[in-house]
Amino acid sequence: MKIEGKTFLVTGAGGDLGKVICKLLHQDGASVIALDKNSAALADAKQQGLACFEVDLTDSDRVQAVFDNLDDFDCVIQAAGLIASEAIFSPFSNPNRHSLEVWQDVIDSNLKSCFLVGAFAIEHLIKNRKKGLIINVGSVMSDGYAGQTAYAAAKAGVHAITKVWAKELAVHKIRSVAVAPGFFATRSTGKALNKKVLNEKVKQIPNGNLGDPTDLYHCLKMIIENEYINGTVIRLDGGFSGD
Amino acid sequence: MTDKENQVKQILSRALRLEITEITDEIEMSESPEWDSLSHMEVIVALEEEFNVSFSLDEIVEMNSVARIIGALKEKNCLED
Repeated sequence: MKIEGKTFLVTGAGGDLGKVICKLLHQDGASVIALDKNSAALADAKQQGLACFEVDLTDSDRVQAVFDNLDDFDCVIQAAGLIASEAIFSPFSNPNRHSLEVWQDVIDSNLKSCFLVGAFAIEHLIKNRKKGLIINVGSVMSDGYAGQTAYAAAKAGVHAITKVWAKELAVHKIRSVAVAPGFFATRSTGKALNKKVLNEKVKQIPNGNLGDPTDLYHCLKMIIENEYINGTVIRLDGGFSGD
Repeated sequence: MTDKENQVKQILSRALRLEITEITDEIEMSESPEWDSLSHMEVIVALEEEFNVSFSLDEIVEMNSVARIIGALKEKNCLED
């Protein structure tokens, strides 16, 4: 699929990754529909003249309302998500076990939203007899890192549904691919890890630096343009996870 | 520093991924980014194994600085005053 002339729906469009994805897709000649739950975060997208929807992607009715108002699109890039770190047991919290609220919030923001947007998008594509592409942004944290119970589970779920959809949808000429970024230079990474811990993580990355959002865009571009990539999770982590 | 106090600092050094020279009595959990609830439990389990003692949840919460860890071990007669 060529990027120029196609329409892309991007979730998490107001985040540090989403902003760069929207901007570069637009520069490469695509029409972009930007989705984010935070209206203020969509300011850049609005300034570029992109179609914007402020929507809570964990709310089925609101997601449906967005798709009811869409004419056409070729590709969905799901970059919405929420990073949270919490130990499964901590002597310092009350109760000592992992908070159910944090669990639910992380699962909803990363996995439920991916399912909902994916399901409505796929329905739209099939009913309109269109070929298409779903790209889900996962994470190498799905391998299981300490303090990441909810986030690892959510992203492992994202990887799993990506593979399921590829098998179910190949007959409709719809591809489904996931990208699993490692540590990227974004505000959410900065919030999840303090500077000293992040510096330690960087030392564990063979490439020796954090990923840049443009690195993610180049990976997405490769997935979009290469029609033979399907049903897989592409790790984009500078060698961090070693797979 | 006694051999046993040196053992405590080695345990902290391993769990907190810090050089042993960086482990001073003044280190507080709240001021050390490496010392989170996960590495704290690593420290506690290693101390319990090393000194054959067990700490209650209240004691574990109170042991939030190198000085307080040394103090808790002294209370259990694991270290000399």
